[in-house]
Amino acid sequence: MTKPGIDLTPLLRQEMMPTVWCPGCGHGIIARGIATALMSLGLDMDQVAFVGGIGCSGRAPFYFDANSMHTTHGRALAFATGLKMVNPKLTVIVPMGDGDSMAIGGNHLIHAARRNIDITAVVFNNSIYGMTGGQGAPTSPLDSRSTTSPMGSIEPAFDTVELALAAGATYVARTTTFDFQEMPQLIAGAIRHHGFSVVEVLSQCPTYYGRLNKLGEAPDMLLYERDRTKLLEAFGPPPEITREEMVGQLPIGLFRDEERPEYVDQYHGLIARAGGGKSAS
Amino acid sequence: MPESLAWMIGGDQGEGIDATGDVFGRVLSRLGYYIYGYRHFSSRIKGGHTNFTVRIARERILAPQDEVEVLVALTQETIDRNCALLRDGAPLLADSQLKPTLPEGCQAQLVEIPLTQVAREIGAPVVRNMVAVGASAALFGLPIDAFETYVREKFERKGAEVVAQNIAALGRGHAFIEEAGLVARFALPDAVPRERYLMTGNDSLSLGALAAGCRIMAAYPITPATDIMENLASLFPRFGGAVCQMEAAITLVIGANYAGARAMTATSGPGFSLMQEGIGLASMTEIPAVVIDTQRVGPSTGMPTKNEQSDLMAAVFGGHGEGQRIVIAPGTAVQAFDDGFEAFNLADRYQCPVIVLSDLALAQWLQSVEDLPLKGHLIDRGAIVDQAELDRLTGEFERYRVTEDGVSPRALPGMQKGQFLATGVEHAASGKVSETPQNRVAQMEKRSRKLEPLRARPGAIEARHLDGADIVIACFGSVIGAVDEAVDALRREGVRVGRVQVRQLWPMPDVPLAAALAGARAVLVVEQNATGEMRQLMRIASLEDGRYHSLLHFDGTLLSPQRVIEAVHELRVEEEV
Amino acid sequence: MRLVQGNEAVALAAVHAGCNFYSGYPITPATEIMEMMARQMPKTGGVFIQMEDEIGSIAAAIGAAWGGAKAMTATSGPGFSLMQENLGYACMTQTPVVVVDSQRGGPSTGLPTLPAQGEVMQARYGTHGDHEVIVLTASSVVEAYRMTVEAFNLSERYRLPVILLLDAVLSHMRENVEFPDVPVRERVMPTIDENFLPFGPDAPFVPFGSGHHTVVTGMSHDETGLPKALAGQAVQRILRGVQERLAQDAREITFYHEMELADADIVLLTYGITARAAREAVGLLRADGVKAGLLDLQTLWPFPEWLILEKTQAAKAVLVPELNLGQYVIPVRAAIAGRCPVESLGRCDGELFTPEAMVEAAKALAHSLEIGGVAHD
Repeated sequence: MTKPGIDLTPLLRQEMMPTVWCPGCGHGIIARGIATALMSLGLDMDQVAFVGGIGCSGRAPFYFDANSMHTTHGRALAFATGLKMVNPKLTVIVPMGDGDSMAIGGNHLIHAARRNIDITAVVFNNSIYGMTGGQGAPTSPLDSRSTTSPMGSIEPAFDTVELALAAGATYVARTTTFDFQEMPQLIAGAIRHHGFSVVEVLSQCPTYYGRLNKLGEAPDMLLYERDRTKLLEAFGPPPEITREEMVGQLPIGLFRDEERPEYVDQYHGLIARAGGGKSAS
Repeated sequence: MPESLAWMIGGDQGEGIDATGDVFGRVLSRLGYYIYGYRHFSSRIKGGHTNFTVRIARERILAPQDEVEVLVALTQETIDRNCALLRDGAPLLADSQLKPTLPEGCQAQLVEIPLTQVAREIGAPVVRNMVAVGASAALFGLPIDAFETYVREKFERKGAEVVAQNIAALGRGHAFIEEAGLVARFALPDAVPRERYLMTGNDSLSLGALAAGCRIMAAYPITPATDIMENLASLFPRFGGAVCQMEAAITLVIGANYAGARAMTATSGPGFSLMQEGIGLASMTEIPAVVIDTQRVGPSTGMPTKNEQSDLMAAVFGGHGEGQRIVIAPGTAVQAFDDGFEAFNLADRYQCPVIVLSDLALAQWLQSVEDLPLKGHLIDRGAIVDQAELDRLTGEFERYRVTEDGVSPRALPGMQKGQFLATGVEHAASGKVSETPQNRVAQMEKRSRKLEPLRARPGAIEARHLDGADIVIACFGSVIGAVDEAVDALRREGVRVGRVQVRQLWPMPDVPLAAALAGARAVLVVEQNATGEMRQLMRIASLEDGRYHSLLHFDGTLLSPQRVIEAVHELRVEEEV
Repeated sequence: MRLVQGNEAVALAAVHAGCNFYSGYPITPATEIMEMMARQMPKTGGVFIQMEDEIGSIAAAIGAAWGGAKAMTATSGPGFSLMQENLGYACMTQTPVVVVDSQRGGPSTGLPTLPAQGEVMQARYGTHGDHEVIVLTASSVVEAYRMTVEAFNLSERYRLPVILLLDAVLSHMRENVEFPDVPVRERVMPTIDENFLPFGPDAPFVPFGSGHHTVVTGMSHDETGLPKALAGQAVQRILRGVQERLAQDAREITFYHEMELADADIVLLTYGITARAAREAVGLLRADGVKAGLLDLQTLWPFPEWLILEKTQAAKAVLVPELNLGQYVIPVRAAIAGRCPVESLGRCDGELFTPEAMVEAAKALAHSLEIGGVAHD
């Protein structure tokens, strides 16, 4: 784990600074978490690709000095699938928003998980659509306020972790922007993991979610994140999670880290069996 | 040009620039002036330069102007970016805390005003912008009590202290300008106070849909269409309606319309491209569906916060196969109300998708509206059968009966003996799948025939000053504001110019358009896109000949009346008109 | 010589052209391309994936292109409609990718097993915003092969999505063919220095992993790829650049066949499957003394207005038979601008034209215009 003072600027695309993110937004903390993880892994940025969708999180690829793709809303994982399959050398990281990954792009998320393709999805979950001005998301909790649920949401929220686990992702973690000590480690673990990884990071949107739900400013929201989550036995064996345990406090930590045949490997095995000789790249 | 003045406030996004512009615009509107309020912004929520311009006149204005008379700067960036818009000697009010400097060559009169400091003295940093409003009111020689009254109403809910702070801020700003000897620097001519609405096209379109009986709205957030969804999310529960935020909105709309509701969706380019499959299903099943496409710069994500009119070809030709679509395009908030209403009538009458092509400028910029013409509209549900008719039926109900005008009787689920199969596969009169060549031709021709009468629909074009016009400008959508202003100015100069606004773009109203353009020596098609999409459609309708010219504007900025005037002058030289 | 199906020819041609990525979703009548690619790709070291929908299929193909592959996807009408958003993304990001649309009767599910040419306009205009694309078509199995290779070549050369329009009949038709040796445009990797502009004029396509940290975005951007202020003007520059290149090279990128045009009074203008009946119809008409000729286009867009004007200069009438309600006839009519009558012969019942139907229409046209050779009785 790198120390807070470490210089991450070599990883960043300076000409795109400052970011579009609002003061107090948690997305910058997550970007820092990703950068810290990359620094700790010492990866060559020539061989790292960021593929983002549309929304506040979708802008993340602009800020990393790597191979950057800013695609269409919800489809980043499908683009990333093609990219990874033909160039398996690339480390592919997909920053996704909650609407991006679970509303319009839900189909791609579950299928990437099912295939277990070696891509790291980092879900920036701030429970709201920020870029378009505060509409409800599939992760907005019941009764929460948004501009499209002005009287409170009547839809239950998706649990990203449960969804990813059920769909077959082989590395699944959840953390928050408050828990910055753990975040880079979980992300680094996901990048190192050979298979489909989902790291959900609960992030704060003081501009919309905080204001509409009277959760205060960014520091208040960080404390809110602290209080509504409970750290699992950190990095021990993956726990058995029961629904009862999830009531009230949301567990955070590492939920699954297991090996299962990875999709690109499987495919290249198939090429070998078919006598296709050289691999795609 | 009408006598107008423009006031601009600029700063960082998230600093209440819009809200301040809104206050200034609304008070001037109450004082009887016509307002056009527009914003420069980018796809981010906070930070980054933004500015809001309030253009003020005594006649209706629906376009930006090239210069501004007063600039209020909350950041140095505001000065650097916008001071070129100021006339020489015009006042530039800048927060003295910035230690503002004028770029080289700028001849504006820099007025340093301690906005932040005054707000601090009042004990409420948030009233900084209100100090600027008070100062601006003084510069224009406007009565400060009108602002005080507005502030009192606006902040009443927040308590007496907030009201007092804001009123104090207004007063301090006003006093500063008095001391500086700049009161009524740009005195506005008196106007007759009159209450008008100050609204956007998204606002009026939402109300039009509500008035038309739309009670289901499904959408997915996307700039610049989201306001419609948000408006209706607040309005619908009071009228028994519902807004559903969907990951595939068009499908819910088709389902709801099938059930007999009036339902719609609103989106922008990328979402519109995604809806092409669903729109085709509505065409094939002859289920009415209203789709609002609020255009922004494309292709792909393009520039989500900048104006363009480049989805026209996709609206007409975007689906696979040959499905019927009606495409209409409002240009003003009043027209957006009309079209928001009439879209549902057209959809029910012709049993097909109706695409309302709005655009960012219409959707988001504030304009003065005298009244929304509710009286002229009647709900027409088209050929929905009544239960008695069905009861008399001896055979099967034929939902897709081949009729002379191509419109078939429509039953709604729940009507007895009115059951039918709605399928996207080719079907016979009963709705059951049939792929025989005879049936295919009969159904295709039936569906195509439906829209024929629309080519001559009254109101499909709106023309002004055609008599004796040498040059006729043709346009659609929000550029009508700039075009109308240009036409009026040119006519005052003695240039014989008229204009045609195409309100219905598909089916192309070729007959009335040809008649309208018959007398012109030159036709100038004005569009905010790169490839002249409406002109291409006019060409398709065999309207084009050697008289046609284009003014294309597609850098994302709003088209100004001045640019249209220049284009007309260039054309006059070229064509010796 | 071997007996090959149209869809099979497309797959074989793609392999010949160097395609090493295929993504798709099953849909009639394009599915055989996918099935064939599922077998062919691993054999040639390429990659095949069945995606979760057509939106994902084209997204994966674009992603694969940026990964360094020559990529293709194939679909039919409903899937093609779903692809519209990401087609625009490919246009905006100047990504070479080949999209095959085997047309069937539409709209919606329509006639899933029967041929049509209903996507001529959608292929050109379907995605939102101003853009350019190249659209090719074919009328025989061997031509499907040739045009598939050309589709890859053109997409490489212009960094544009290229759409190949087939139809249900051609896709499933089997013909005895000997495949021609169509030259393949190979991708050349330029030397990259710090001044490299990934979206500069004539910039070669440089995929990820080259060392240049390219930004690829669907937002309006300048030549660096970054969505900076004033991107509006940059987009204008880039789009105009593409338009100019296509216009300059119009003669090279417009593929067509012609038959008996030199003295033709009546020109049949066709594309795709309808050309087959038209060739026969021209012979029948000539035998009956009607001076008929054929202009058969394989390049539909960019619209070859110059060619159509050139080839119909002396014509007294133009007849445009197509398997739709009359789509391509629209720009043809606009181009000819009243110089001679342009007649649409549309058909949308899921059947092909017979030569006799074209003969009849041509004769009726000749008769109405009192063009010589038609007996007046």
